Amino acid sequence: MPKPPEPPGARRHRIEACPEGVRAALGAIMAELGAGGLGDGARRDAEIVLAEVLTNIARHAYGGTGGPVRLALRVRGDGLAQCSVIDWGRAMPGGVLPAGTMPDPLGRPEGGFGWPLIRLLAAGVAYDRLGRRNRLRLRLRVA
Amino acid sequence: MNITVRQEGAALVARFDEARLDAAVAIQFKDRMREIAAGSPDRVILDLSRVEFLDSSGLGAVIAVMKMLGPERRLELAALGPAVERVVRLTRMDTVFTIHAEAP
Repeated sequence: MPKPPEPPGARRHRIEACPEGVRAALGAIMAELGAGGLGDGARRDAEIVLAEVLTNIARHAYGGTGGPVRLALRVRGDGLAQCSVIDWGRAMPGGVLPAGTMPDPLGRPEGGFGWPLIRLLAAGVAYDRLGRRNRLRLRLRVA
Repeated sequence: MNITVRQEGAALVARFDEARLDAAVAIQFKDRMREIAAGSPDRVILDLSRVEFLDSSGLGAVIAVMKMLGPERRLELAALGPAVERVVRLTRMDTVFTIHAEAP
């Protein structure tokens, strides 16, 4: 498969799209972000965003059967971390990002929080599909 | 995955003993809480003092447990750490759950 474009100077992670793989990846990435000097609040939000992104890939792009994910992360000098996440699963429905409206809490929803949380907590998110791969580009706040 | 259960007055207190309540344990958590809830009193308090990370799957499981208890029994939350509180507030589920600063 062709090498996908990644932010220059990024730390790369190869992730298995399953709940245990997501846990392992978050552990490694959070350790790296700690070393990069991110404050507690920013780290907390970044972990939520990445957890939701990776869990969605495992559940929806790969339908729970597992598959590879490549994540590249670079902490920039301007208070943001730049992240790209690539998988070879199913495309986003309609080829676009989900709207991300928070479900009504009074309806006692058991799901549908993932994309609203990503949209609330990420400084930016973009999606594209090229051939068989999905790419998400995320900007995460450092402070 | 372990949940420690104790009776506190008229309430049952269930403490989730892991650092992460996430997609990796959501189903186990729901299954174990279903066993715990069988024959529980009207008030069940979920002690989250040990939890350092909650994702939307974990939150969904907590909401599923609340619904499992039915209209006649209540699920309340206690001892939310900063990361747990963040997710509960952003999803506005703090408007649905009674939340205690500390577990009884």
